[in-house]
Amino acid sequence: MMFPAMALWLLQDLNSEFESQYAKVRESTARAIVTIDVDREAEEKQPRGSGLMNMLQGGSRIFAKRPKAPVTGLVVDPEGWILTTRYNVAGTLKGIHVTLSDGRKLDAELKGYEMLYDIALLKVDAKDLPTLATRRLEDLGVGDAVVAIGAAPEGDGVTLAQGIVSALDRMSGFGIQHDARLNYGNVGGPLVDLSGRLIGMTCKVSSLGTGPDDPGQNSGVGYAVTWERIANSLPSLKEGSKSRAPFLGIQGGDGDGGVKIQDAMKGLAAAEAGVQAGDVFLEFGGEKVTTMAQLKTKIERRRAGDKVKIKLRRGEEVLELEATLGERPEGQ
Amino acid sequence: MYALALASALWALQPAEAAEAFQKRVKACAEKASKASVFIGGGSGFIISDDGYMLTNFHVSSTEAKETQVQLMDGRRLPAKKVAADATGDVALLKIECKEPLPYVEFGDSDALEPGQYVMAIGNPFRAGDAATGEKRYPTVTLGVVSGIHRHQNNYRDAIQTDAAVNPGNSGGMLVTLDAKVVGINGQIATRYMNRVNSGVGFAIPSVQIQRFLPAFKEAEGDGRVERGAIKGLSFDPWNRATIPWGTPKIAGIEPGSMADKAGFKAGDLVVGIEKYDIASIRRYEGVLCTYPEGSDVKVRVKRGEETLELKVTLERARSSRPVGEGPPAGSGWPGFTAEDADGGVRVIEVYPNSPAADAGIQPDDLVTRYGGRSIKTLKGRTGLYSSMGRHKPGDTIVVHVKRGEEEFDVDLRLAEAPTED
Repeated sequence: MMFPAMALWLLQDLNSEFESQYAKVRESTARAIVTIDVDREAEEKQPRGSGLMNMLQGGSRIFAKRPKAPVTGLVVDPEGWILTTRYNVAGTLKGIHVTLSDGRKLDAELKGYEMLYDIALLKVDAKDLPTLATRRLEDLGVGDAVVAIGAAPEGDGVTLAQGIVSALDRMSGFGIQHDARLNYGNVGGPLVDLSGRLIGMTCKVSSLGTGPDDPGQNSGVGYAVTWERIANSLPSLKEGSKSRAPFLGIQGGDGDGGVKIQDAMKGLAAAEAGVQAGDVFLEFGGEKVTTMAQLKTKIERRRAGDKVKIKLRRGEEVLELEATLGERPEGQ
Repeated sequence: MYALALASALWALQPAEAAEAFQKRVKACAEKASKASVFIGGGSGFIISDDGYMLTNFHVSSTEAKETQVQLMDGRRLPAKKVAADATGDVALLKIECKEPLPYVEFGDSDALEPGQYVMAIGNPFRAGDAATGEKRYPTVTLGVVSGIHRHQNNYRDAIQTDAAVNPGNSGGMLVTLDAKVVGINGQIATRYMNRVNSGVGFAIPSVQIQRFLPAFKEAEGDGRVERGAIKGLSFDPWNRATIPWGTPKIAGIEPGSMADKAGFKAGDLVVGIEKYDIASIRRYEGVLCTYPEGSDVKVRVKRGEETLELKVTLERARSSRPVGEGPPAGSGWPGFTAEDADGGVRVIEVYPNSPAADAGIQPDDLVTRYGGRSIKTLKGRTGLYSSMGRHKPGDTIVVHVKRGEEEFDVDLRLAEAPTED
């Protein structure tokens, strides 16, 4: 009589197995989370995305507007370096104020950013700040449970949003996709596994859902740039590097066994290298390209300023040119 | 002794291990099912047998050519031919041509689903899987639960509701239980203010419906059509339909000589069941019938006074209710909105979910003043919308000029095929 009763009691306990796991995640990650208050000039501009898209989506512009509230950041280096999304600290800023997990309030300086991966690095005057252990990315797979951690603006504790890894090989190979719900507020914080180990930083939430580059708030299509990519970028970000996306300056589409160029924009990298309308891209940086999406991905893996060899077909000839990648102009 | 051993085993399973065991199951399901996922046009699909039959939504395949191309997760691009579709039910069958056997997913049982059960959606929302760094293309996998079953939502009348994140681009993709068996095709989401991102409410066409249509699909060839069935000659009290959507449907009248008359239905009968399903409302009645193709023989249970009778009826085609002569010529490209005459153009009344008009952002109350290069003053007549519509085919992309309040702008519409209505 006693044994079945005990078994039933233990089964009930197991029903909360996930809940206690999440409690562990919360407790172990809270120490590395910071709240960021951004003091900025009122934003006149519409959220990112063409004006036409915004017009078509009428009343939903309301959802895209940035609310006046603190955002989340993550300590990435004990010597006072804090990561958040570029969009969180975009605009004309009057000040950035950070609240650490121990309650200290400090002013922060925006040191550097990378627009393409939506990363921004802040510096505060503090030492020995707690950071998160990292997760081995090689055995991360689609279906692994993930948790997006955000700072609770009330100042006590953190917020959690749970999901799974939805896909690998996103953001030109530097990020993963997941379905933990991201909104203004928790984006810029860490994405961790069920042991609280860092997978990456949640990013790319700034608009209505205009496409793969910005799926919109709360869509369930969320991105996180991996901690490896962040680690690679840290040295130059610490030095003050502020990079816009690398840009070739072409318009084209799939066709003719490669990418057919409709326009090589005047004054930009491709045109300067000698690319003409009608050319068909065959190779970029020594790698074959067959679609525009593929070419775009290969460009985005580079940095502005990189010199890249291009192979293209013009009529009967096959040409090899060298382009120096520029920066994506405003509004592109 | 046995109970003690069991109790010890349960006690030994730590939270971390339980979480790990669950993740393993989710990962295994994602890996197996993703292999059968295909990228098609702006949406998704999945392979159901190793000879290449694949399913998607009609609204995904209708913008593609009869012979089109799909891409698998391993990167292979393969030709696919349209076989048949239920346009109103939004299901399309295609056949991929490939010499080797293809990975596929088996069907589960959507009727066995219970709210709270885990399900997984696999597709290509926002074209997130389009830009890959290598040959392999990752579809998007999202996890949620069954939120509701037998939901009646627009033209999806027996839908599975789920909170697994599905967005534009997930259409046509599979909804599977964690054993990697297909229970539905994702196709609609509930949104507000035209903000077309997931709000936690997604709708999928159930597998029982798809499986009932498959034999008829396979017999039709070359992009055929199979319509949902209906019991012709029955009318219900409008009060039943409008004011009180619940409550057992009561037959108000029978048309003499109709299929319902011949089957033995009588005015006053309460429809209490169809096949194995109990019917508790007119919506459920409609929902069950839409899962059967025309020509199906179904048994209907009615309560007549104290008796319960079982009547056998062969379903006929659910026919369009629009009077002949009104509307654009048959076969014209379908934009997906209805309109009425207004000052200076035509005013949009309704925009069909997942239609070209919905994709382009057209909203109710918009004023359409130009359609495909022609000025529009009215619905009918020489300068009318219907006349302009007749000049374009499904698949054509046209420009439509819209006035909304103070704003005026052009939108591109890629016209689709018209679904039939009932």
